[in-house]
Amino acid sequence: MSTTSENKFAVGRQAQLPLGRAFTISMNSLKIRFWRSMVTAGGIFLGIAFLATVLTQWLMQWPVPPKVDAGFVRLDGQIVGPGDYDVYKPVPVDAGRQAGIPQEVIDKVKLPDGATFSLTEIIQGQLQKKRAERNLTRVQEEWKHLSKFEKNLPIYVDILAGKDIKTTDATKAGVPKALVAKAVVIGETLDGTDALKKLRDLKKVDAICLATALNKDITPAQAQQAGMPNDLVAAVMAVPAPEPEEATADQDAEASTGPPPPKPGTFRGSTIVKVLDENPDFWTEFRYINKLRKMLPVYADIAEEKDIRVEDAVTLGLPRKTAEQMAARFPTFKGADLIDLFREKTDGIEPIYLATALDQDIRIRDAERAGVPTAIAKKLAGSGKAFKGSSLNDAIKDHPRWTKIWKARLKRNAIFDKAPQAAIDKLAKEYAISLTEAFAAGKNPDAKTANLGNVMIVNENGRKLGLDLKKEPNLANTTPLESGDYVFIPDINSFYRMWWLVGMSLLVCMVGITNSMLMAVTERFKEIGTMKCLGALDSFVVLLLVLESSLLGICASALGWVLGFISMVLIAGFTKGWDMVATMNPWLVLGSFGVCVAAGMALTLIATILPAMQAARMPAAMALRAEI
Amino acid sequence: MATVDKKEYVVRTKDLVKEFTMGGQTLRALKGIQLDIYRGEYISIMGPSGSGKSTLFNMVGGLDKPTDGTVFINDVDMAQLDAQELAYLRCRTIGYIFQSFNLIPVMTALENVTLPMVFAGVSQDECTERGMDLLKMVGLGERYHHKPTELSGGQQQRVACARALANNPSIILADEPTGNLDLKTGKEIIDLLKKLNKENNVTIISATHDLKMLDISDRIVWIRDGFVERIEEREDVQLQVGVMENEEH
Repeated sequence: MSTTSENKFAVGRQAQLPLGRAFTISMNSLKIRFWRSMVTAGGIFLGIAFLATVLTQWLMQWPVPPKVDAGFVRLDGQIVGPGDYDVYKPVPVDAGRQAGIPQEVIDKVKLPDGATFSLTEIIQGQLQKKRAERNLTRVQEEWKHLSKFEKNLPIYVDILAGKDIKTTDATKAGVPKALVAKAVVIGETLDGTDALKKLRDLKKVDAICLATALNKDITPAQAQQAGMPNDLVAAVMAVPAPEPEEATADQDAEASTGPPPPKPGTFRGSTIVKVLDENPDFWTEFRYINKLRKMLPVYADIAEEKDIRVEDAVTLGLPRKTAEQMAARFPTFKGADLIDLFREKTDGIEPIYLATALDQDIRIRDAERAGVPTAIAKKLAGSGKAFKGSSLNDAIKDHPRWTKIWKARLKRNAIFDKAPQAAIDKLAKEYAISLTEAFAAGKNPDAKTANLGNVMIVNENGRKLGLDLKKEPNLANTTPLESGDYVFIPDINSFYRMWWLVGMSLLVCMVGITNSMLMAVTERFKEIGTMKCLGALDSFVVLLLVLESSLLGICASALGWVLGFISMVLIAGFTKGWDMVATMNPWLVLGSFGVCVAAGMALTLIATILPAMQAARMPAAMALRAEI
Repeated sequence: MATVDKKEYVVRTKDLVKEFTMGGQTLRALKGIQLDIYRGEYISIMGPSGSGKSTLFNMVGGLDKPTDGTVFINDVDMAQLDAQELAYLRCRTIGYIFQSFNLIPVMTALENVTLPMVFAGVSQDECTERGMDLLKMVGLGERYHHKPTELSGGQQQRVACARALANNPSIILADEPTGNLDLKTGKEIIDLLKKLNKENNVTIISATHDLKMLDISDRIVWIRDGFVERIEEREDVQLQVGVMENEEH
């Protein structure tokens, strides 16, 4: 059935395969091997994510180095003062005099050659003076608050030690009076004899109570005189007829050892106590007796010269004021008692004293509330949120030293203020050293070796001024260092470290992607062989693999960038603040995206094209035989 | 052999030599093979393992280049073809069937069948239409959207047969097409190949160990140690098949 026209095989060219079909096949292939593709993409993804973190970090304005005063130069992150590094040329003495610098100032900063003087030193001196002024003001301001603590702290230290404390000191130290009184009460230091004496002085003493307490003989008349109501005296005289007998009997029983029996017509004071104890209800209707009953123990205490509680003394009739005064007259109370009170009830006193005395942790917030200046509290706390109580004590002790230091510095540099500002400005302009000169003359070894290309001039806000000395070397010769600017040489190590990081991340990408693509290609040798059997050209096989890996590369790089970018933003945002994140230029962010995707794609292509070509060139028979 | 003159050659090999260099040693897999195959013939190539069967196969199919000698397909010297022309030849003139099916795992049955047509530049619609026809012909019209992994071995091999026929080739090279199949499905494939041979007048060259294949072959080429040992006509073989089948039972 074959036709003769087929006899002679006419060799033709293979129809060019449309790119669209290849694209569809690649897409299908990716879709079907989705998870395998994800693994392949993982290498690209992670590599690019790493690259993206490095790039994102670059885009952010990392915290600006602290401003350095004019005249100071910042080299490799270190502030270098005038001793190491001058930013002004030596000024001839005559020029200085002409400009209006007083002779005494010039003499002070004369250079060894005698003919010139250091302008830098004058400017430094002025700055030093200003700084000393500022610091002295600050120290004194702080002292206003701290002195309060200084005065009162010793008491708390005593309290801590459980020593006896003068009530007056305690009150002065800010301990509320009520609390002191309470501490006194707990201490029970009101002397019984004193109270008795006072009561007698006041003529308020209840003689009968006293007699009872002292167990003296009492006549009904005396009792009456002592203030017992008349009807009560009558009742006492009429009703308790047998009682004296009883009492007498008792007294008889004890006669041999006890005191002599009471005289006829009288009764022993203690008998009242006895009667009351035995018949508690008998007299309850009489307030006076009640009073007796309540008060008798106190009198007994007084009689025995025991310590009496202020409250009891008051109930007894001693005016409260007197009682408290008496209590206060006793010079001390136990510190430990006060501590217990503090612990029970801390409002109304300043817990910070206690905490300081006890060397407890004090939170910055509490310290502020207690009147410690925030700056001091923060300084003491360092990076933490609290500081040790004792360090506040140390800070207080440090104060005189710092006052002395700043005062001395202020005095030493006061002379530089005599140089008029206009004259300094004029000279500063005239004798400014250009960057090149600065580096050539630099006494700092770093300055000599510093690569000029790495020098940035930074203005007072820490922003780069856009001076690229590598591109415009002349700028280095002509640009004077202006007051307020400083030269910032970025740490060269970190500069190279950054490039090294980028290089490493690319290398990691490269290795990851190459490995993935090699696997992806070699595991498909058989498929490639089959395709070739079915009439696929080598170029088509390469195209198919390259398309596939490019798609993978683009997607993985884009996702990798997203991961890297977001993670870096989050890290920076939470650790350094969101302001820093906001400094990123959106166009540069877009640029970093472009760079990452391009890098991912380029690496993928490089990593794919070689194994793909190798696979395509392989004889179909060998490709078919290949087993993975 | 009397009708040789009237038949046209579809494949001719002349002094075909293939050497492999392995571990510093040169191995001669083919030692001068002379073979003429006529259009519409069903040829079985038999021989023990390592006899050079597969190597001969790869030479004929243009999958590998001979060390010496020439292969003519439709009177065209394969050695003279460049990569594009060779691809064209593989695409349109030869259909391949492999022992391990070699379907593209990421494609459906239909996509597998239409792939050679895609390479031949056939339009999408035509591809689909013809692909479906071929699948129906091999009895898999309902399963066109299945992936190779979702098909049984026999079904996969049938898809492979359909794929081999995609561009109406004049030759089908089947390398142990039943090697990975059980007896029943192997029989089905053999029947299918015979049908194609009969109805489409396709020349079928198959390497096989399967004695059932011999039953339907026009000629059997016995190969041993890189030489053609003997070429037998079908009638001579039938007797042998009977004997061997008896031995099997």
